[in-house]
Amino acid sequence: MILKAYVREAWRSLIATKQRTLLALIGISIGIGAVISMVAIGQMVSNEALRQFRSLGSNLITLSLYDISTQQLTFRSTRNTAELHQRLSCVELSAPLSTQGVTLDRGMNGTLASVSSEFFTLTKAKLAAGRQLSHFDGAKPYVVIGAHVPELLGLSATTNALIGQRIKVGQHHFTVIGALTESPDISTLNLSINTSIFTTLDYIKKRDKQVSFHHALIKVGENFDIEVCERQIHQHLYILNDRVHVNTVTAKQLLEQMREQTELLDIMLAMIAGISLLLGGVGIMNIMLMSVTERKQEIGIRRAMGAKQQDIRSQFLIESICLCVIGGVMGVLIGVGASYAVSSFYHWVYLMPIYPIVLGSCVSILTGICFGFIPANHAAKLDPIDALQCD
Amino acid sequence: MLKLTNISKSFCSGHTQLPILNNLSLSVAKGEMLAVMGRSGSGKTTLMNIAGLLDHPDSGEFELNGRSITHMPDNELSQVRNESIGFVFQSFHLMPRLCAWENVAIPLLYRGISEQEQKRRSLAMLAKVGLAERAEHKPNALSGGQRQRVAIARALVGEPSLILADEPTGALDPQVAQEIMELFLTLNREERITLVIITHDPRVAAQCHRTLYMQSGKLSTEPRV
Ligand SMILES: Nc1ncnc2c1ncn2[C@@H]1O[C@H](COP(=O)(O)OP(=O)(O)O)[C@@H](O)[C@H]1O
Ligand SMILES: [Mg+2]
Repeated sequence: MILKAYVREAWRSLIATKQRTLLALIGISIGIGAVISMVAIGQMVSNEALRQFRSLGSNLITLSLYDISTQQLTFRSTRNTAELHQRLSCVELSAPLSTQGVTLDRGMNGTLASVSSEFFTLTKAKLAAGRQLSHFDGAKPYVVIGAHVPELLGLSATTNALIGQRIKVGQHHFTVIGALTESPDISTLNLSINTSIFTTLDYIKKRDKQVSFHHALIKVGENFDIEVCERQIHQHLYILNDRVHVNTVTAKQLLEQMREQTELLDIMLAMIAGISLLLGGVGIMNIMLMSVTERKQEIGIRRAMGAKQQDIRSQFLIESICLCVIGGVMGVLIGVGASYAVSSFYHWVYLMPIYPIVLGSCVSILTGICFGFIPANHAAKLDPIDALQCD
Repeated sequence: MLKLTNISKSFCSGHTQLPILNNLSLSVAKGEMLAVMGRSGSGKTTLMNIAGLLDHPDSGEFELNGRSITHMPDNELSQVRNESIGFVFQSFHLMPRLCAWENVAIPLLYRGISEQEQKRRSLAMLAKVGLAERAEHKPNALSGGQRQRVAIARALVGEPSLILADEPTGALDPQVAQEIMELFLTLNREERITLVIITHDPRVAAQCHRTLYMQSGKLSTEPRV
């Protein structure tokens, strides 16, 4: 019950100095906000990474070929990747692809990708209208377009009306046969499905003799170890052609890579949190010392009425904790708002787990105790007579 | 009940030790109403601070209710102040943010009594000093005399054995001062409360049972001319 009285008393004294109180709380709010957004952003990033692997499947390997000789990549080496699933038992599907940046009619940038029909199976890209590319399309100028392509081309027709339309991409003229729904990017290939235009391998081979198929998506059979399979692919391709450098990325590796990146972000946010909490804490300490000085007489009266040193210490400690809790609440609002802003900026799924909020509240209470202790102790140690006599 | 023996106290002023209390002895009986007079700066407040356990004498013995206080640690001194001593100050010393009854309740706060009980006792005490209707008023909404009544209620609420009042009427005009004095007299007569009143006002002193005069660090029964 004495606690209740202290909290009420603290509240009154904070209300009495509203402006000063709010100013002192800026630092601590930003600190707590940074703590909360740090954790929330970390969560959203790994959630985003997981979401991508779930959509692609964790048994997918992306393969890229780099020529280490001066020679251009020959088509032969790319055929090797296309035939991987016939040569290695652990490979269930192998879909080679080439990508090139193209400038569209209105100066917008898109990607022209030539793919085999397995590409859509592997990436689980869904059709909104029309049909997929098939082996039987051969070298016909047919394309399937990503969800944002109509926008890039300046077409405002409904998805169904797009089918059969003729579009110009670079120097190519295509007929649209299918349109995809929104799909996540394939970050291992740096490929945005939504802004890509997909045509067949044969079309590109026929039109562009120089083209090389740098990439392939490889699906590992269900009962095979993905890392063992990765090694087999390397060995196999090396025997066939030792001038080509093969680079593979698995989902697991990418996840680890993303974790490392988040770690860096975490360290940065932790530094911001640390610095602003420190500055905020010093602000709290300052305001509490002012409060003690202003209320010296009150302290003297309380001591004369029988308050022990510990009672005075508790009173001011509780006041500084109250102050920090208010700052904590403001910090939670800042943190929630900031993480929401970041998530919508990056088009992430917004997540606000409860534990960073709990963590933030604990940190604010801890700050209150740490930085409130010196002023509270100072108040407790005041000589009651000095305190009473000051006017 | 209050017994001070050979109390000495001096303050440093610059390089010299200035003796304020000099082998002072004082004994107050239960139910007594004692007035202490003396020139300004003669050490009356210093005496009250020592008697009220707010200050330590340089030497001397101190006994309250037959209990030696001389070598008590700070925590126990606080507890004795809380339970046995009530203070009334010249400038009231109320807390501006608290309303009348909350001010009265302060000594009870440090006893771990429930809030309803604190309020009940504080309201009862305010009624006793004639301020039942002002319980929810803040000090700045009260007159000087009313504020001093609140302060008296606060000094009494813990049922202490001794009330120390340092010039309680010093800041009040004569008529209000007399009302406060009558309140003290009533409390002393009806509740047998022991009072030590420091005052400049001979009319106040005249209504007490006994008057002592502070001069050269000692208390004497006769004023020196
Ligand atoms: N803390 C202190 N330090 C130095 N001198 C003090 C202190 N407190 C009181 N004094 C001196 O002691 C003398 C007595 O003061 P006080 O007891 O307040 O007198 P009174 O209440 O009788 O007017 C004064 O001269 C005052 O200056
Ligand atoms: Mg005085």
